[in-house]
Amino acid sequence: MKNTDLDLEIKGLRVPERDPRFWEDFEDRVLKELRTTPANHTPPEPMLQRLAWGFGVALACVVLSISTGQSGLPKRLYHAVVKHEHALSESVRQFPGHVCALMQDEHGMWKVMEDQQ
Amino acid sequence: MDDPDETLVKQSQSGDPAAFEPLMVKYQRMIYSLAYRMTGSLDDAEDLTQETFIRAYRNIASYRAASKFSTWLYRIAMNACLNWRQRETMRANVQTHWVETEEDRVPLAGSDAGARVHAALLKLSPKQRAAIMLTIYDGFSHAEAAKILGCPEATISWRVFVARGRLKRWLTIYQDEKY
Repeated sequence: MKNTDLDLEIKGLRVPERDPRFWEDFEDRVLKELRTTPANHTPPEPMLQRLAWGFGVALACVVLSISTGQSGLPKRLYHAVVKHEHALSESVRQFPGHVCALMQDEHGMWKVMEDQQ
Repeated sequence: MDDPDETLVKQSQSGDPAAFEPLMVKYQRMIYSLAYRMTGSLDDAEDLTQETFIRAYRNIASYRAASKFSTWLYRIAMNACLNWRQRETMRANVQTHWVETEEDRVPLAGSDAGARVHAALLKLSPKQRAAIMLTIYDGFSHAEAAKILGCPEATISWRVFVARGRLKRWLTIYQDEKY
């Protein structure tokens, strides 16, 4: 059997005709249902907006887990040190032996200098 | 020139159910025909057609005119048919003494040939049947069928290729048995 013969047989399929009364009843039934269940007329959020929300929530979760200590303080300090590595190494070079501690707060990384005698 | 469907869709989107009525009247036979060809059952086709229009109206706000309204509606109908198939399979698995009711499985009008072709189509997997119906019966391109079914064009081509092979084999066997 060739493709063309098969296609002809498929195209020759006919759906049983329904009485015109059937279609009237059908329309009435569906319209009644449509009137009782209102449509959602609010367009869905665009994909980018939904992605932005998803990213924001994910970021918030990461920040929350860090701030509640889930990922551990040393790791947090490690990231801060890596981030400010250049500035810190400059400070240490400028004040050799005087940087006694590093502090991290909401404003960023801080150096605690040893008191000068 | 404005597409008349678009005007009616916009009115429906602004909350006028009366504007949806002409759309339903225009496309109900098309959707019913699709549902019947997918299920082989008049009753199920009726339920699925109703379900399609209700779903379409409820989600009319999501229609963005990226495709024709008829294509969008077709996609909803096809998804409803494929989901129906899954529901039917689950029901058949649960009911151990399930007996297929043949009363509503009316053979396609016309001839014995039509009935055997339809029987062969119903033996295909629903996704293969959908690909055949869309591309051969309805004349959609493979790209359009891919959009309706939400899969790559290559998948449609493959399904059509496999389904054609099966249909040819089954229909040839039928002819051999007959003669």
